Amino acid sequence: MGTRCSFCELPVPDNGSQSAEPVYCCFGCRFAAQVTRSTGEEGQANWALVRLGLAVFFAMNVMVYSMALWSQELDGGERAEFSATLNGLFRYLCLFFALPVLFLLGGSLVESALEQARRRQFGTDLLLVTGVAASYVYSAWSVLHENGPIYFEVGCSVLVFVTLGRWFEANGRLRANRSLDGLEKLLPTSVRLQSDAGERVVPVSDVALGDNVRVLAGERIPCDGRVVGMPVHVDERILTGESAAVTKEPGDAVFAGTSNVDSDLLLEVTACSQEGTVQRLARLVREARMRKGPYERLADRVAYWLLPGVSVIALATLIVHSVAGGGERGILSALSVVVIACPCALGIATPLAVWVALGEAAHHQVVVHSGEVLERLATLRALCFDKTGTMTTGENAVERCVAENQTLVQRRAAQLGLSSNHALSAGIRTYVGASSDVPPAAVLTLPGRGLSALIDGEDVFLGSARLMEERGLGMAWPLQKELDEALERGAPIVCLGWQGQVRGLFVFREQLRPETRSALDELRRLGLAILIVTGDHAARGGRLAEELGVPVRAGLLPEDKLAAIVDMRRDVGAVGMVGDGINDGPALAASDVGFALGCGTDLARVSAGVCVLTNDLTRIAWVIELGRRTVRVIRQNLFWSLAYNVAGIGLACTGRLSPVLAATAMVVSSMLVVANSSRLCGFARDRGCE
Amino acid sequence: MMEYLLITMSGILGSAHCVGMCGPFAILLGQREKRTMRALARQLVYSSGRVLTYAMLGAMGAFGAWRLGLELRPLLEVQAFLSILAGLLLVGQALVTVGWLRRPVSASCPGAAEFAALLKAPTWTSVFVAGILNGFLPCGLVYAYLALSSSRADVLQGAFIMVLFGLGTWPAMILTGMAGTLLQAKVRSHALRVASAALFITGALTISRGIYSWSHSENDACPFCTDEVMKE
Repeated sequence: MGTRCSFCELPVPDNGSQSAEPVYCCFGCRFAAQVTRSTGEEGQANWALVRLGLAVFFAMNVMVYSMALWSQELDGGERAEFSATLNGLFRYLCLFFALPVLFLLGGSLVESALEQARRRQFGTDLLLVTGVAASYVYSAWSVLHENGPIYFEVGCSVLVFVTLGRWFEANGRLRANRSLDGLEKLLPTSVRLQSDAGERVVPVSDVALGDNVRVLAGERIPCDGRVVGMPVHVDERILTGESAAVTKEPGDAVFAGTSNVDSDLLLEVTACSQEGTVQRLARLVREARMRKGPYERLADRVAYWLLPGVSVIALATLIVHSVAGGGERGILSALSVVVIACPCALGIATPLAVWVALGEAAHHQVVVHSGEVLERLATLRALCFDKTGTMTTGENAVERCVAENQTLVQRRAAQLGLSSNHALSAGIRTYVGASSDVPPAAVLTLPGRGLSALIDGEDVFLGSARLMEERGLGMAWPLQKELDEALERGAPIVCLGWQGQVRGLFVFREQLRPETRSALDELRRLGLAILIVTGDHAARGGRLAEELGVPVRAGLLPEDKLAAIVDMRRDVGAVGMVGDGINDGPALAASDVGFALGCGTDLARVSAGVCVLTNDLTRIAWVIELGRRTVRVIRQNLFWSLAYNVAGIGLACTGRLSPVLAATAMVVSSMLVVANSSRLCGFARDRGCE
Repeated sequence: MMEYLLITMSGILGSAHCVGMCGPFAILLGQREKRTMRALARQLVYSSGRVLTYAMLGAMGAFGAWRLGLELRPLLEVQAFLSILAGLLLVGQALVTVGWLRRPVSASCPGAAEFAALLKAPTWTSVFVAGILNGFLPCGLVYAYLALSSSRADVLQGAFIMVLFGLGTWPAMILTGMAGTLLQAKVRSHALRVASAALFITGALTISRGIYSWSHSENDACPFCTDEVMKE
């Protein structure tokens, strides 16, 4: 994905060279990297920070002496004889203290400017260097010739504040990124590899597919694998949010990042260390961060025009003020323009907020596909829910199996159900107790209707009553009676039939998720219109509508669900679709934002905009509110940084803003944006998540 | 004169408060140094850095307030206003110190790890820089005194007040750093009570001075403060 900044991992324009040298996207990252990287040896002072501290000290001296000089000038000769002697001394002191600041901080800035030039990137660093150099040269000349004003405080404060501002900015970006490393850092770096020669501890990167790895009780599982030893209990909270441990039998899949609760676990590796579930999760979020949303593209466009525009304005300011008020006035005003126009705040206004929000979401088991999806979340006016597996627990227990030949019906149902992930198939599997001794059949999925397969030379159908009708399968009286009763009650049913007859009927008991009601209340509080769509029978839909107080459209085929979404978009506005990500792909894709529930371990398969790893419905309202807040923060950031740049440039080019104030304003502006964005970190706490 | 004495006093006593916040820094500073004289020197260099920052902030504050005063004279008695503000801050700090007012929530420091590295580093420069940077740490007491020195509108006096305050914080901080432990809670709570009284008096004096100079022409001395202060 091209070159990345070695500090904050933002993409950096390629200069073609393939050197191993670290590359930095900006001066702030270069400096911040120096500060953090050099702390490796304990007790070793880190020189970059000492440099900044010393520069602050010297710059403050320059400020104080400059102020003393100004107050003498303004005092108007009250202490004339006193000031005459001190004046010269103070000017030399200013020079004396200003030079170290230049040496301490100027180097990094010049380096960064040169690198930008080498990369043919047009940045403000070069302009800043020019301005600072001009103020130093001019002031030094004045001091040595004992005539003319001095502006050391300008050069010093620009250097100190620009360094500080960029450092804050780079740290803000890093912190936004680091929330992800947190996920990956959970993983152990070394593993116990089992081989014929016994057990060895090796780095996790050395593990190959098919290796056997031992994980002790209480340890985190280092890579995806299959259980080969004894059954174990695994805590999958990190992926599914479920606090109860899950039992894993031999052959079951276990995932990197989850932890082994109570006994020795032997697993066979099924994915290399870089392909584990947690790494995939982190990579998805990281990729999400690289996709730019509309607001970010807007900021980019503005920044693109801002820089050339600023150069022109700075040049014009220089010329106009030099002609009107002398060279030094021209230089100072132009420097103010350059400093205040530095689009730092603008550049981080959107990405910082988006990154923090994406990281925050990932930490609460919600993966948002991109910043754009996050921004679209805020525009949602309506939500469509797919009922099965979404509003209900998805674990449909078979209440009853009605059939003449129970054994055959159950056996064939299991054969068909084995290869389907549909909630009802799962129910049948559980009821029948299907184990591996049932040979699975080559199953054809009939969307919205059911399944069919060729078993023992017969076409066998498993699915809705409608499927049976369509295929011309008749129903005998006892079954018909059961079916009518079940439909009356609104209970889900699955029919099984072959050779023109329905042979068996499974009647299910479906349970609403415990949090369904509160989740719907929360969504209504957010002012969203809600619609439940289901392929179920109308009677059952009506019952659900009554129970939840939400409109339900029942008896819909997948294509009808699409139509329902289109209708809703026309009537209300942007529509989100919530499903389990398995049976409702087209509807998810057709909606403005698709939400897939319970995709914890299947993350990569699901293409919804928002993947909720858990089955917790309340996360939908949570993430929509997060989206709204993020967009609010982005708007505030953009408004602030644009207003600050425009107003600042206006003041500066008319000569009403001193470069010292401009530099201070720049730091304050960047800090405001960083602080405002990190407010999103507290979002989860405010909303009562752990 | 009495006011300068009070400032130093409340600095000394108020540092019972400093020990709570900045004491751990002083301890970190002396942790590795076995030789007493060197440990003391480290503490002195560190505290000097701190005081220098205070002094320069004081000078800047005073200059800024003075310039503002020149600009806004017809509109607002800036010095009187700042005096009252400083007084209120000091009284507020007194109430915080004695525990009647809750401390405003302090944000976590973004550069804490780097700061700790500086404190532990063996070189004098890094100790000094740690002191300089420590001077910028958010602290209600420092802000109150900064407001006070700004109200003087004289660069030298502004710096002087901050130096007095800063020197006042030396004994407790250096003792803490040398002893390697924080003062016992009981001793500290006694000291805090006395400190809050000193802060309260300084605050009350400052407020009254502000009110007085607001309502009278600026050249009149305030009856609550001794004459030397105002005529200096």
